[in-house]
Amino acid sequence: MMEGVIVAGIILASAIYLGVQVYRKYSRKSGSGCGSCGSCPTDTPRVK
Amino acid sequence: MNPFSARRSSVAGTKPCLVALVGNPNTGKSTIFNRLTGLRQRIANYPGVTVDRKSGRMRLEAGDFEIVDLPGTYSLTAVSHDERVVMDVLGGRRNMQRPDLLVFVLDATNLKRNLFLVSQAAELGLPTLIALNQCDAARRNGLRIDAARLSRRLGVPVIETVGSNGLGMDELKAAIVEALEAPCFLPRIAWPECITAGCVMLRDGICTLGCKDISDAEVLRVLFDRESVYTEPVLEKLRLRDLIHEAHDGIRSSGLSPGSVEAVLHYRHIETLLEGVVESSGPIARTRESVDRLLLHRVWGTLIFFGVMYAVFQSLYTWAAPMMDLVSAGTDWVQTWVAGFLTGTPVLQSLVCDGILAGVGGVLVFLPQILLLFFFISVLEDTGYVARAAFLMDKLFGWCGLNGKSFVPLLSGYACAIPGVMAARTIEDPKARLTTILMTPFMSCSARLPIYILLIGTFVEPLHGPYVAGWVLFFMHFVGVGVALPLAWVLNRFFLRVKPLPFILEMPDYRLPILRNVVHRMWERGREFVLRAGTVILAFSVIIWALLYFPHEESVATGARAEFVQIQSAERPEAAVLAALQNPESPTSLRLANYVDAAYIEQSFLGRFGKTVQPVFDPAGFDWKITVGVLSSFPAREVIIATMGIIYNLGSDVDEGSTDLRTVLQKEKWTSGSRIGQPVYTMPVVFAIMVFFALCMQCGATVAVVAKELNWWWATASFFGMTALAWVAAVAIYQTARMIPILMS
Repeated sequence: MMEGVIVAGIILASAIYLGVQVYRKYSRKSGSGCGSCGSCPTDTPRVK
Repeated sequence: MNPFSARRSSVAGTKPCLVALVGNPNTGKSTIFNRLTGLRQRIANYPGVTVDRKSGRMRLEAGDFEIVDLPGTYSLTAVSHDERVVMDVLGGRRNMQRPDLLVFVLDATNLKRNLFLVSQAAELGLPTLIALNQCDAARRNGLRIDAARLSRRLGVPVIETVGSNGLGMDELKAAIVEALEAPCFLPRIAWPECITAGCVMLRDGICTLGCKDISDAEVLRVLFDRESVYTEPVLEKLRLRDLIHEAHDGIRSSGLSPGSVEAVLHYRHIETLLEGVVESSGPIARTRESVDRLLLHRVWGTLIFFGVMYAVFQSLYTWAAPMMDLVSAGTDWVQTWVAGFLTGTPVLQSLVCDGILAGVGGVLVFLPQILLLFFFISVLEDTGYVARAAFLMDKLFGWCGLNGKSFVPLLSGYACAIPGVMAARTIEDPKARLTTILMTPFMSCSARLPIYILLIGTFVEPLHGPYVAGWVLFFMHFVGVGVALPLAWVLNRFFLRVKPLPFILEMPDYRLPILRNVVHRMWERGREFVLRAGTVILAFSVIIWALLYFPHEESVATGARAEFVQIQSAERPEAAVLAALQNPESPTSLRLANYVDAAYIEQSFLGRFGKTVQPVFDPAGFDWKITVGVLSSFPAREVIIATMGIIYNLGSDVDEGSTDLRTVLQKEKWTSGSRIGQPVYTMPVVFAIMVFFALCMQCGATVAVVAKELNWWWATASFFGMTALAWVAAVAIYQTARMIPILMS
């Protein structure tokens, strides 16, 4: 029972995470750093 | 929207003061930006690296300052999109905050040309400060610059800096604080009466038409710029053409040319400013010229370019091998160790070992190659070789309508298509820019490297050795270019008809790569790769595992077991088969376990889906497992490694003793259809897969960036066009190569 809950939880969390990533990627402005290539300084909240 | 509207106040409320870094391309603005803010904006030794405004905070005792790094521009005439960004910021247009201070970053080795922009910007009437950068290079070139005298002439502080080693940064920071407290302004040049009169006439005309907040600098741009993405919309809207013609007639009647008068007057002004400021003491080193003669030679230069590229890919292949083996052994060890802990929970054990660890571990194995690739890219960028390569490529690209300016975006595409697509902003001609953006995703980005390495290492190297494998890797990196150039020609010849443009690119000085920058770039990309493996790839691995594991119905195992016994009974008595199955360690039991695993995978959600779609990819020789790998990698192409790791890990031979992906791929055989029992991965299939990946747009982020830089129509067309092209190429390769029997073994 516990095993099933853990596995289901991990699968659900992964699906939600991917969904959020897709939403964020397509709603970001160009040049604000999509995080795909590491060229933009996205590692710091100080950057706009 | 009218670009001359929506001006904002310069300092809004409690916002920190805005300091803009302005200058020609490749003068070191981003290096100084990084020094002032402590950030890591991307830098390289060639023009056009920064194409958008980037901002960061500089924290000093005197307070916080917002520093904006602007794209490089030679003048205020905004022809390309990146230059427009500069004009929008300097003019405070399009909801941009107008800077409180301009810091001009000038290349000390080429002061005269750099001062043209400064002289033009004097009309903006903004407080100014000058950072005389690359002073060390100027000294090496035998130039002596009297910064104090230049400062007196310009009426603004001039600070000597060397961005690469941080020299003069404390003085620059102090000067910024001082300049904001006691602003200094550049002297404007004395315009002749005919130009002043033309400006007054234009200003009156613009004000009459309802645009009252236009600055002197903007009126001058309206007067002088023939082609400008900054002023053109307002000219169209306000129908000012007649007024401009009238002003030009006035200039002509004074014996001056409206097309050149601005440059002539500014350079005259600069000559006066520089008198006695720059002295050349001794002969300028001729080494650079000699090296340039060789590297830019039509034949030798091109040969050297391809030689350098070959050396890079050969090294990628051979140098990274020991490190790859180490990472692979490490992930295997972790897999075994974790499996021991989860023996009581088989589903969770399968999720963690066959899903997460096989997927993420499979991708992490390629970290050494990614690090090496970015080591080479950084070194080539820092030395100044990239600009030379762009010059060479101009000749190679000219026939298909792409010019040398396309080379920088295309080269950036070799690391990642996203900065490549954005770098196309430096291209003035919209059609040439469009072609470049559409061709950039064909460049072999670093995400394609893992699939090439996996397949070449598994199937080419064992047969032909590491040197041939290196050649194949080198060749695969040019497949995209080989297809993109003729495609660009077709686009230009029949649809876009791009006019050939002269290509002007400044050749930067040769510099020794700065270790700090090289290591940083490797670190950034390595970190990005590992983060991606630990987040998106991990989440993907869990989903792929779930789709391959479930529904996992008991009836599948029962049916498979009965079928297995029936097949085995055809070879020997059923009783003997059943007796062998009593011993779980017997070869028959192990074969049954494999048979049941294969049945589970085939009956899984993803298995059923793969089998349904497989006929589409059958002409390319892909089985359902490869089909699933290909389909799962459309959001991000490196996902295929994780998918294959999971598919083959779940269905690997349990008596193999090794779950190494390469070994499993070599042994993989067709389980149904006319090719039953034959190996899946023949040489034609291997090349069909690699070519499919070389040409297909399997990157959601790139599709989004193309849509944002162009529009969704072009992004969709690019996605479907590239996918169709990839499919056709894969089918053509497989169908042609299978006619050669030796390749099918």
